[in-house]
Amino acid sequence: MQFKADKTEVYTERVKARRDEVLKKSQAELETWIDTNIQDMDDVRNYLKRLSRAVKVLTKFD
Amino acid sequence: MSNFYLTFNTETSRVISWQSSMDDEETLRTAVQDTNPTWDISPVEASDAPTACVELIDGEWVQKQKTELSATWSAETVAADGTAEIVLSTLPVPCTVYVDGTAVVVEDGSLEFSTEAIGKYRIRISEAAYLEKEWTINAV
Repeated sequence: MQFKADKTEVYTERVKARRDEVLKKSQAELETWIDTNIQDMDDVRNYLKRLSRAVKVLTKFD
Repeated sequence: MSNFYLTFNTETSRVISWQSSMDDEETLRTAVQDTNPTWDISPVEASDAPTACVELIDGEWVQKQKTELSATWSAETVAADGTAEIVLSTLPVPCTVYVDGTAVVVEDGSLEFSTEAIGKYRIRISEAAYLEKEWTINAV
């Protein structure tokens, strides 16, 4: 029998944030990664999305 | 002197509990069935009780010991792309598989699992005649 499992968006976003290979680097490694990889506005946009995902996981908004 | 008894549901064959009682078997049976007419009891050795199960054979309830499930996964990690599948095979037929607590009735002996959502999935099988088994599947 085929079964396609699912999770809530809140759960998957939390897991994505916790498994983020870039954000889990040490601060020094992260800064080096930013210097190397953030070249244009698309990179900035993508990085902001990455950051906002982690912020949303860690913050309880009213 | 107290004796140990299993209490089971005659509609599902599931053991509900086990306990010691000072009552004799018929007195206890009457008390149990006054409250739940579809339940019955069966004397059991205290050491056997946690892994005991019952099966209806030729109209009589026979007490047995639960056995290990032979079911296995082809892998315990799956790509969360919606198409990659891992398979839980050699399941009893039929079998209820609980995926994060949601019951999925599998009638053909195998569960092909896929997902688009990353994370961990708790898979549990709790069939009356088998020891409960649980896996954690990681979707990456």
